[in-house]
Amino acid sequence: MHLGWRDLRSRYAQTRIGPWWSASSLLIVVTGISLSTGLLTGNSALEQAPKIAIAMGFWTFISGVLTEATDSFIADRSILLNTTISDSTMTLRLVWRNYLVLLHNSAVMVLCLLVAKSPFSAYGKLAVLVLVFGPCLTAISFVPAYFFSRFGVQNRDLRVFISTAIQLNFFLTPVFWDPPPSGVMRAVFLLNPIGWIIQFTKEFMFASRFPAVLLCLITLTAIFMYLPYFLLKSKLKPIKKYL
Amino acid sequence: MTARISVNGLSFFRRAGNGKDTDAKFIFRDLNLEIFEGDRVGLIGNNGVGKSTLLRLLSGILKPDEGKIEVRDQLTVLLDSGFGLDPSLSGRENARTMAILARVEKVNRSKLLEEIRNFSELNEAFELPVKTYSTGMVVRLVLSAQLILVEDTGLIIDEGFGTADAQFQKKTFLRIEQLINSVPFMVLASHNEEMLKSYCNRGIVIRESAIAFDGGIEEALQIYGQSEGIK
Repeated sequence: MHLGWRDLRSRYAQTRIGPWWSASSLLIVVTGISLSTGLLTGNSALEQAPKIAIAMGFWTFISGVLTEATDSFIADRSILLNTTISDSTMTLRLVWRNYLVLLHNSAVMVLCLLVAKSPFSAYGKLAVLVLVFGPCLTAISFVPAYFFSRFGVQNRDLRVFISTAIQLNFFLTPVFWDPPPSGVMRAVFLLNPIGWIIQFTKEFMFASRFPAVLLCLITLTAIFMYLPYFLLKSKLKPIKKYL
Repeated sequence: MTARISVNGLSFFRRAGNGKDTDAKFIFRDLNLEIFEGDRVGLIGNNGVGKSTLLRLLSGILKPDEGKIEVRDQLTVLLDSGFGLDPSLSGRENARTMAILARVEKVNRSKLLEEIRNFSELNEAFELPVKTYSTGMVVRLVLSAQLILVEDTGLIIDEGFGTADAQFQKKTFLRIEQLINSVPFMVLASHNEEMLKSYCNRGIVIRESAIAFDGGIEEALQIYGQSEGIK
């Protein structure tokens, strides 16, 4: 926990607004995308803003975790090789740090709800999303982050590949589009677990029905991810050996 | 007398080249070792022979590929000076991190941080970002933090630890001497003959993945010197 906080303080050291810089950059991105999609689709940019802010906030969390993971153990090499702190602790530090960023970014989500004159219930939903679903997502993302961190050490070429794949995935994830009921993009959506998470956040906030199917899919994915983690963890060679 | 550390049939290898198993290079093969209370062990050997790796194995940082290491005491490990130091944060914040990594309880942290500040003689600079420090000041901060945080446990020290300017080095060595006299046992990896002679009562020479000699420190240094053609 301390290391996660320290990372944030260090990243934004000697800036006036500290970790709020990440929220400011999200605000700029959301404003830009809302205006562009508003102009392209003819919808009101103000109405689009909360949806885009929430999708972008959670996308920033997921992409941040996965991208940083590929380099995480190499960056933490000196701590791993000089203390008995485990590699899993370093992954926990990484996901916790990104959850802290998500918490700061939620201020932009609140601001967009305010601007869009959303009903009071929307703030309650957002609180549930950030304070209940957020920690669950943090726990879910721990497993891919851990394996990505291992991949990053053992196959250093993969780091570039994974980072490019995550960037590409942005266009295949319904951040500023909604999955159509059929067709190629529907198939793409169904094959993309990150897309399920982003779509869940949007539907939870703005759809009239609770997205139970998406929640089930996310829960099942989490179970299937934790299974190999628990089964393989004790059999994997300690990563410190490769550092 | 029960050994405080027992090493039985330790084998450890590293992968070289493209990382395939066929490229494995043995650092230690079937190594056996016991360290008792009162032992002040000096690990002696050429660069790359595996002294630091052995310290990491004894500390539980690395796990053996074969064999077993049993440690029956708490350990304080002083390996690479300056690990995890964040240049954009203050000396105090970095010292706090070191205290947390050393698992110091929250109630004791403030007192220890003041001790670190006083021992390092950094004064107001303790509150400034580490990136504003000179190299000597960074060494002072790290050494002070590591030495103040040492508890009354088994002590493991690597050769890279403890290099500072002459004046501070004297203070550091005095502190290390106090520590060595109070800890139940110590393992020190070093090339510094003077340091080994004054701090150790037992010498272990490591050569070709095994222990080549285990006995008195004077004899160990002599054997190492002869084999390396130093003397």
